[in-house]
Amino acid sequence: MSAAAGGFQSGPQSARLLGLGGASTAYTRDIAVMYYNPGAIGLLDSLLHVSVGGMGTARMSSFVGTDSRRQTRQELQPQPSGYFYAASRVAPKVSVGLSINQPFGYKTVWPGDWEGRSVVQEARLATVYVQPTVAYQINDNFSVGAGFIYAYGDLRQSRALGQYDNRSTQALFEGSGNGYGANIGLYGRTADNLSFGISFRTPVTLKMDNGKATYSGVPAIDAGRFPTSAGFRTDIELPSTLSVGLADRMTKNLLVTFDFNLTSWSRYDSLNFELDNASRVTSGRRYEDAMAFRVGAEYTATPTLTLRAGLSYDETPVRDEYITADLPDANLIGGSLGLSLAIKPNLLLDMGYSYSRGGERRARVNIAREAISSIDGTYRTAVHTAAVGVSYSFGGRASRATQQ
Amino acid sequence: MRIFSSSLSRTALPAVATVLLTLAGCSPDQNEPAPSSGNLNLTRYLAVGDSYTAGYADGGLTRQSQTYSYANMLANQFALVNPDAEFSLPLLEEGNGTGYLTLVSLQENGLPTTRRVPAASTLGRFINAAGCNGADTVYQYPRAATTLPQNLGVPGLRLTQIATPGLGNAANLTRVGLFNPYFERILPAANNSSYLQVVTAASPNATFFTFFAGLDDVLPYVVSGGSCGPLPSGSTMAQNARQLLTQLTANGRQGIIALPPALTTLPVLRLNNGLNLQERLRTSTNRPAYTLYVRAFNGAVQPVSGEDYILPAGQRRIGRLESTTGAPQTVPYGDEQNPVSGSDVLDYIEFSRINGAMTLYRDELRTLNQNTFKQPLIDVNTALFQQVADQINVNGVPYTSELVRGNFYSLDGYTLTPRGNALLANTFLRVINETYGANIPLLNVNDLPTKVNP
Repeated sequence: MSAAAGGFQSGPQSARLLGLGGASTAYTRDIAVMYYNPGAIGLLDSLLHVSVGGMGTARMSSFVGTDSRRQTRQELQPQPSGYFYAASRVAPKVSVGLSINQPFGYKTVWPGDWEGRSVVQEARLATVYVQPTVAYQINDNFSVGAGFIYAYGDLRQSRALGQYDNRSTQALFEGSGNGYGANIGLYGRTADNLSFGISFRTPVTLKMDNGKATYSGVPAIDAGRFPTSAGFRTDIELPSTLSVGLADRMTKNLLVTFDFNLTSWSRYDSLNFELDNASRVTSGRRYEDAMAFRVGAEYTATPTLTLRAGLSYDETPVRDEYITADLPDANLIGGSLGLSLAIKPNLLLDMGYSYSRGGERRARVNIAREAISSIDGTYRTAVHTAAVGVSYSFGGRASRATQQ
Repeated sequence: MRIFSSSLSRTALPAVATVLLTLAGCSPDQNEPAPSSGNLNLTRYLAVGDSYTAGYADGGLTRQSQTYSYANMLANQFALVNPDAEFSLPLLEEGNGTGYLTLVSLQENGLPTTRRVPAASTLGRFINAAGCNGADTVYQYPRAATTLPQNLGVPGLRLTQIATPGLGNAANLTRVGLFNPYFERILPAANNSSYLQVVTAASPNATFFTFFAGLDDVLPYVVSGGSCGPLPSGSTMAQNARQLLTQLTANGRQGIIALPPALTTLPVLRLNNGLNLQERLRTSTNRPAYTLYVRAFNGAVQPVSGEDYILPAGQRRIGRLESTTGAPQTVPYGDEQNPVSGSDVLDYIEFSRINGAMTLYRDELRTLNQNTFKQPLIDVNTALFQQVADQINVNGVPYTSELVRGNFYSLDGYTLTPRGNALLANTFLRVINETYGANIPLLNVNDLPTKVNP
């Protein structure tokens, strides 16, 4: 949900990468790269590097109903997240690392009594990816790496049951679950100033078997249809990503990075809640694979101050006919800024901010397709992401020392 | 460091980032389209029609149900784009109005059991011993206005009776078949005008009109199983509609003409289809070979068909043991020796006759409009009613032709709930916006109550 966020990807997972617009597959100055390219930590020095920080993402959409001709704005409820990375060379040619971050998620909160309340009131997904990583240096210029992914996710979705007069009648779905995946990457330097990376992260299926559906305020006449509480199970399909990146040190002080990502959202066909009573709540998604392009620049202004800027274009995986209020995604164009301040030679304060904006998206609804719950109107979306973190290198100079 | 970092990452840093965002946070605004009435003058809207237009619901008329008529909802929306727009209704006193049906329970098969809440007060009352299904009672409801209201919807208004003078006059209470208990309400004192004269008098003041009539011509025949009232002529209905429309469209006045829905979409028939009923009975009694017999209009006893409709009173009787002539023992109602009686069934011949009249009216009115009046025409059947029969989803809320749970039809099985009326009003508003370049906000259907009376 940020500068680098098609669908419900949460964008660059560190304050530094956020400032670079997420162009990170061939960027080795931040150990957060191990999530984007496990091979990129293979040429690390012998220090222990730690990077930790917090992020906040506010994805704001406005809606104007075709029927009501009124605007509704989402409530501003930023989604907090955090990241932690540690990496070090443990043997000649072998580096290990641990990455903990929250690469997928969304939080959509509409006013509780808005005109689409029976479509969605609140929708939220939060994930945590834990990735132990190992990288091997093949020679002076090439390294490969692999990571194992354990993922945990937490889902919450609520909507009003508007077929009843009682405005507080509501259906709430809550569930959590986990899944596994892997991440592999190659990093190389072809010339003194040019490096490249390529990586592939597998899809992850979060199996949520312990879901709980809670219905409140249902009149007695329909108590059998909507029991107070029922179990459900669902699978959340998180996509795979193929990334290719370049980093070019154009002058002594200026590094420029490029990234291309292809995210295989198309496996996310629908969100199905299989309830205990054998009924099924299905929302069609029919996502398409989506590309993203990113450019970032890092300028070393003084020995203690590094400045960053980035641009990104994220294609949306959401087709026109499936634009819905729970995630009114759009093609996003984003810009980002960031800086790192050396507080001590081995301690950096990192800050990043990005803003991206989507074009207008029109949801067209055919009321006769009764299986699809949506509301006719136009959406505009903007995403603000801010991140603050520190990077620390034990036993030596700041992590800038890792630069090529 | 590790402990410090994890607490930092969990609380402090997200908090800092969140504060930054709150400062920067703003949503991308969009422009709301400016409300406008386009090239229409909506200052004085005149609504002409029958039960639907009057706001009849749950088998009665109350002050509540009048305000939830689609006509009044349209007027409320017009007032949003034109501050000078006014609309007057012949409102009843608060309370039970003419009396109405209320839900007692919902049966397993989805059909409601209802009870009638009695009327608050009536002016005249007459027991019509010659009623077609035995004695019935006719009431006359108190006179409302000193001037003509703008909602000229009259429950039970038949196009075939628009030229009848004194249609609602107490003196004619006993004039069976040529009396409408609701008509007097819209007339000034000591006025014996016919409905056509009323429309003629009201039209010159109007700037815009809607016309939606014809259903009440055919419903008495339908709900009595073909035993009440003459079979109306679709041609006569259309010719009389023409007389009304000639007045309404005089001097280039603009409006909307609506065609009534197809009879089979209405729950009063849809929920009572003979074959479906037989299927339900086979399941509930666990007799797969059970056959339901009906007495057709010509006296013949025959197995029920898919075009026979068993009316609610008859359904309640099915299976009841009754003594019949010619049988030594009691026989369940609906068996071959004791078939469903003619007044409890609209059989396939009666259905094809009444449906033919409705189809003819719809076709002729359409043609009339094409050739003569050239007003925007809404076929509410294709635009709404047929879709509801197949179930629709409006902003996440399902609407069906099921009673009670469907939220579209009121308990009488053919008029609408407030939400149903809002969907109907929105159907009109879409056409008005499109045809006249207007920009009138539509109603938020799901904000309205699902039933009109407590």
